[in-house]
Amino acid sequence: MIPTDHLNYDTDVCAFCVICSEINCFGEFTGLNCYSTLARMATIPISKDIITSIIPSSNLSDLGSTNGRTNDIENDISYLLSWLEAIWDKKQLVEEPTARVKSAIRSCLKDEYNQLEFVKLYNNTIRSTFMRDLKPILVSNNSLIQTVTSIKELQILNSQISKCLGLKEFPREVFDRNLNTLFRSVFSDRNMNLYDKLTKLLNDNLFQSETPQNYDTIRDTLILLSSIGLNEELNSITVNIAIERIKTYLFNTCLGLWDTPLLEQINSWIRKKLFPRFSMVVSLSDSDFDETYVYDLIKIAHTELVSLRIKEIFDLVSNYPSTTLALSELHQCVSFKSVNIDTHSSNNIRYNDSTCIGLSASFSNILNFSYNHLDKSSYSQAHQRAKLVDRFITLCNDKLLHSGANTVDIILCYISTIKSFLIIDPKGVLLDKVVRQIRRYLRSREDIIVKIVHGLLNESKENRLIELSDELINNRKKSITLDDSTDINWVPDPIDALPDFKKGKVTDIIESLISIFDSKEIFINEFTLLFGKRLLEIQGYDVSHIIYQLELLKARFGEAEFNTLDVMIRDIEESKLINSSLGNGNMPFQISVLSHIYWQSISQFESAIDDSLVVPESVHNQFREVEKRFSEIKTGRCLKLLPTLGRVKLELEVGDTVKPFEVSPMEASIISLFQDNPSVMTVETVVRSLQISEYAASKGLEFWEANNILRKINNSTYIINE
Amino acid sequence: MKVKIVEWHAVTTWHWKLESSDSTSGQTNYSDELCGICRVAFDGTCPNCKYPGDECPIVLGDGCPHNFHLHCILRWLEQDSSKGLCPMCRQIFMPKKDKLVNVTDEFSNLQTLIDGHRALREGLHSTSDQDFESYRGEDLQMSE
Ligand SMILES: [Zn+2]
Ligand SMILES: [Zn+2]
Ligand SMILES: [Zn+2]
Repeated sequence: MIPTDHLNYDTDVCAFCVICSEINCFGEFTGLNCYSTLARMATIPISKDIITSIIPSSNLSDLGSTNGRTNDIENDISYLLSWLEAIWDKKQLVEEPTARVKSAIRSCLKDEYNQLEFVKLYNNTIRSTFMRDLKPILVSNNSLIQTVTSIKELQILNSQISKCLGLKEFPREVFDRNLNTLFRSVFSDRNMNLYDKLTKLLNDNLFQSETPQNYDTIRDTLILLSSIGLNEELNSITVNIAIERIKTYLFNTCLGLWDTPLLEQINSWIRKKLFPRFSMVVSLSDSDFDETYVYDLIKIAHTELVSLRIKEIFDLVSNYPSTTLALSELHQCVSFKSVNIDTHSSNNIRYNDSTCIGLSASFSNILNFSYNHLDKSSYSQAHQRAKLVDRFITLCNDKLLHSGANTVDIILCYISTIKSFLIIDPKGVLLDKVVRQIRRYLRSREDIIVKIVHGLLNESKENRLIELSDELINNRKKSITLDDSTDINWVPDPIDALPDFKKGKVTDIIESLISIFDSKEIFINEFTLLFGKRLLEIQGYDVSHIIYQLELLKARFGEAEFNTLDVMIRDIEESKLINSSLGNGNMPFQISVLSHIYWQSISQFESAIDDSLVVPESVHNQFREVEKRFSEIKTGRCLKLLPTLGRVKLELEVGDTVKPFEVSPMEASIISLFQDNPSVMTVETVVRSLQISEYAASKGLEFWEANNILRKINNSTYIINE
Repeated sequence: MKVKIVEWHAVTTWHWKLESSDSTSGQTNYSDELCGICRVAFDGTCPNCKYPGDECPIVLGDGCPHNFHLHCILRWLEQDSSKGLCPMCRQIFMPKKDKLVNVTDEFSNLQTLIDGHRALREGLHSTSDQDFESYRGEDLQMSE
C-alpha cells in the first residue's frame, strides 16, 4: 500500500510543469488555461468548476430543463466529486456508490462525448497527483514485486471506478490507455532500472535456478507488465537473458574444447533447459509465441559459438588436425545448415530453404526484441565471416609472420590454414582472403624455396614437411575438392567477392605453395641443384630413387621442365657404363662423366674456386690413363677433371691403428701431402704444393685436426698426431 | 702415417675435341664454341636432340675451319639452295673423315648429300643412282 502521508503533501511547484515534462499534454489543457487551478488539483482531483466547464450549456438546455435544473446539475457534480474524493483519499473503493451518486453519474455522463471529456479531465488530474506523489515512491522502491503490487492495486481501483462510472467502450479504452501510460512511466523511468531488476528476478528464479521458483509471483508480475503495454521491453529483456545464458553455457562447455562434437549437446541444452524457461516468460508477453522460437534460440547459440571460435581461430588452425571436429561444426554454423535438426517437425521448413536468405530473415522474431545495445549486425553471417578473416589475419601477423618465426613453421601453418579454412568454408572464398597475407610473407622469405624443395623430396621422418613429400608421392592433385558442384547458382557474398578470386589455386597443398611464386623456374633450378648434389654423392651409380622422385615431380610440374635433370641422370647412368667398359672394376679410381653444359649450376657452385687443385700423383696418373681410354671409346671427345668434386675413401694407418675416412678430394689431397713429406707442414706449403687458396688449405687442415690426425703446433703449422 | 686410397671417385666433364687455330700447344680446347647454325655450344645439342654426346655428334669441317652439329649440317645440306657449301664461309663443305664418330646411318646420309651436291655442281646429268654410286669413291679420294 502507498503510505498516505506522502499523498497529501503540498507544494508550490507547478504540477503542470511536472506533467508536461513527462507527457506532452498541452493540447488537452487549452480549454482550462489556468496553471494555478491545476496546481490546486493536486490534492482535490476535480473541482466543481471544471466539471461544469466540460458540460456545455447548450447540452443542458437541450434537456428542456428550467432554471431550477441548473441547481440539480450542480448538485450532481458535487455528489460525483465527493464520491471520487473519498475514493482517492482512502485509495480504495469503500462502498458501492449510493443511489444519489449513481443518478448523478447518469446525469453528468449521459453520453459518450461527456464521458470522453470527463475521462480526459479525470486522467489529467490524477496524472499530476500520480507523477508528483506516487511515481517517485514507486520508482524508488527497491522491490520490483512491491512496485508491481502497488500498481496492480491502483489498476484495480481504477477499473472499479470506470465500472461505476458506466463508461462506454471507447471512453473506457481511453481511460485505461491513459492510466497505462502513467504506469508505464514508472517502469520506463531511468531510476526504476526495470532492465536490471527484472533480469535479476528472472535469473534468480527461473534461468539460473535448477527448478523454477516463485513462478506465480513472476507470472503475475509479467502479466501486469504485459497488461500495461510493456511487451516489447519484456521480450527484449528475456531474449537478452537467454543470450547471456547461452554465452555463459558456451564459455563453460566449448572454450578450448575442439575434439568433441558439441552442436548436438548445445541444441539439447537449449531444448531441455533454456527453452522451457524462455517460453514460460515469452509465452506471456508475446502473442506470436510458438515452438519455432526454439530454432531462433538454437540459431543464436550457433552464432554465439561462431563468435567464440573466432576468438580461438588461430589456435584452431595451428592445432589442426586435432581441431577438425570444431572446424567442421564451425562450418555448419556459418553455412546456414545448422538448424535443420528436427526433421519430423514441420517448423523447420523455414530453415531448410534458408541457404540464400540472410540470417536476419530467420531471426525476424526474436532478435527484434532485443534492446539497441545488442549489436544485431554481429548476427549477420557476412559480418561474422568478415570478422573471422580479420581476426585470423591479425593473429597471423602477431604470432607468425615476423622474422623470429621459422620458415618451416610458417609453411606448416600455411598448410593448416588451407586445410582448416576449407573445412570452415569449402567454397574457398574465406581461404582466398586469409592466405594472401601469408603468401605475400612467404614470398619474402629467402629460404622458402629450399625448404619446400627439401620438404617435397625428403622422405625421412626428420622432414617436418613430410606432408609435402607424402602428397607428392600420392599425387592426390585433386584430393581437396571444392563443393561448388552442389550449388551451381552460388555467387560469393559481396563482402567476400574478390576480383582475383581463383579457387583451384589454393586448394592443392603443393600447388598452393608453388603458386606463391610467379614462375616455376625457381623451383626447377632448386630441384636441379639438389638432385645434382645428390647425383654426385651417389654410391655405385644407382639413380633409381632419383628417377622415381623426378617422375613424381614431372607429374606435378610438367615433363618438359626437367630436360636438364634428365641429361644429368643419364650422365650418371652413362658413367656407370663407361666405368665398366674402361675395365675399372678393380681399380680404386672411378669417374662420373658430366655433360658440363647441364651441370653448370653444380660445377660453378662447387668448383669455381680451387679448381686448380693438384691431386696426388697416383690419382692424376690414373685419370690420365682413364682419359686416354675414354677418347678411344668416345671418338672425338676428351675428359677434364674437376679435381675438387667427388668422394674419396681413405684408410689412414696411424701407429698401429687403421682409421677409415670418407672425405672430399681436397681433404684427401691435403692429408696425402703428409705421407710423402716431413710430418710437419705449414699452411703455406700446402697452398703452394696443391695450388689452392689459403682458405681451402686452412679449412682442410682444420678438418684433419678436428679428426685428431693432425695437431696444430702454432698459428700456421701442423704436425701428424702420432 | 700411411695413406691408403681405397677409392677415389672423381668427377670429370667431357668435351668435343675441336681443332683450334692455335693448336700448336697440343692442348685440348675446352672453349664453349657454338655451332654456326644453331648457335648452341657443341657440347650441348642441336635443337632437335635432348641428349648431347653420342646421340648428337659434331662434324668438323675439312678445308674450312667450321664445325657443326651433325644434325644441323645435315638439315642445311638437305636444302638444294645450300649447294653443298659451308653456311659460314661458302666454301665446299667437307667433313673430316678421320674424326668421324662411329659411322652411322646419319654419317652416310651426310656423305650422300655431299655427293649429290657435288654431282649437281659439276653439271653432270646424273639422274641415275648408278651415277651417284660411281662418284662416291672418287669423292672421298679427292677430299684427301
Ligand atoms: Zn647446331
Ligand atoms: Zn642433334
Ligand atoms: Zn666454313
